[in-house]
Amino acid sequence: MNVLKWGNKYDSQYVNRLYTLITKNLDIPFQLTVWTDDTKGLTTEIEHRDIKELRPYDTERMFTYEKLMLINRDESEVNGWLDLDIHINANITELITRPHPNITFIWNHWNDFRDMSLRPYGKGSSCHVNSSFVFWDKGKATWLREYTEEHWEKIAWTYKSLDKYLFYQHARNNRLSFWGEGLFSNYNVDGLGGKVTLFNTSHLYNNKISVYKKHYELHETDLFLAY
Amino acid sequence: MNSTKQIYSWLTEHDELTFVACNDFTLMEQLRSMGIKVHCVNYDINYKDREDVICADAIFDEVELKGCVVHWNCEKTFPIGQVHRGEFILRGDHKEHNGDCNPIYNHAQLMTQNGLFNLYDKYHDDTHTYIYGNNMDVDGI
Repeated sequence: MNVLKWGNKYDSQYVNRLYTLITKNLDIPFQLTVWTDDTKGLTTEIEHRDIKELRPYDTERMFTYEKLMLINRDESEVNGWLDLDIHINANITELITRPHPNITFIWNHWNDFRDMSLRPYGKGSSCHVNSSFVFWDKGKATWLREYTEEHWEKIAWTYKSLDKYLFYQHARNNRLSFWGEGLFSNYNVDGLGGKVTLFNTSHLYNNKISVYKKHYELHETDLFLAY
Repeated sequence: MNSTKQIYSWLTEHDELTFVACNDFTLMEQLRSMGIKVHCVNYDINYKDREDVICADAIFDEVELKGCVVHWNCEKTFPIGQVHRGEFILRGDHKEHNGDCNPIYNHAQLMTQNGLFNLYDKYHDDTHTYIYGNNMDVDGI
């Protein structure tokens, strides 16, 4: 499985703590690879690769598109990526070992679909897909990599973020699979819950969304040291 | 329909129109009542059950664009002139709403993005930029 870390938003402690959490909550052997521009402080158990390898396109328009470049790259029988700003609350073995006949994303069950995404759909501002915890079986996400490469110019022009691209182009056409309800929570909406809790703050800044309530980063909570 | 608007005289020159990203259903119905064949392609899934809407993304999906293509919100999509050739009426604004990927500031921008160099007409109003023309080769009309 893979994580991405670049820039200075998250430091190596984010990676190391996640590695420890996975170790405690996954009952099968795994390899964690961090794709990064800075290997300082990473524990030796974590493989590191240059994130430039995931950047075939010279663009800053679609935030975290690099995740899709993991598809078809030295795939194992099961493959996945995780965001760094997550907390694992419970054993995730079943999530990883279950069959993934299609690439599987998080559906934002913590937000009301009708109010948050359906009503403003036509404005192009909606998003109900989250790519913080994604897994697929070998070869089962090839279609997404191929579609993305084929339509890259249009995609990079249109979408500021990977999640929005996935929502408008692939969830709209029922091409994605999703984890079940109750497995994931959003700390800043419904607090702790499920097997994994997300913090999910990047889109607030990328979309210049002003928020009326404080949105916490993982390191601003006690969970950051709870591993 | 406010027939004093320049765009309406452009629209009524055609027997068949395909509107893209337009939710002005009153306008489209008025054009139909004038005998014009009007199609509506809109990616908004709120319209998926409407019989008068082809619920599809004109940029990404396989969808036939018939007659003159009227893109009502060019600020929201990749330039349609790069995926279709023909006659166009293009309208866009630069309000920069969340979800707008392509704010439209002037005629030259719309012409260049869409390859619309055979220009019939153009104008601005208080909020939008409009152009009318085609992106076919000089001898391809």
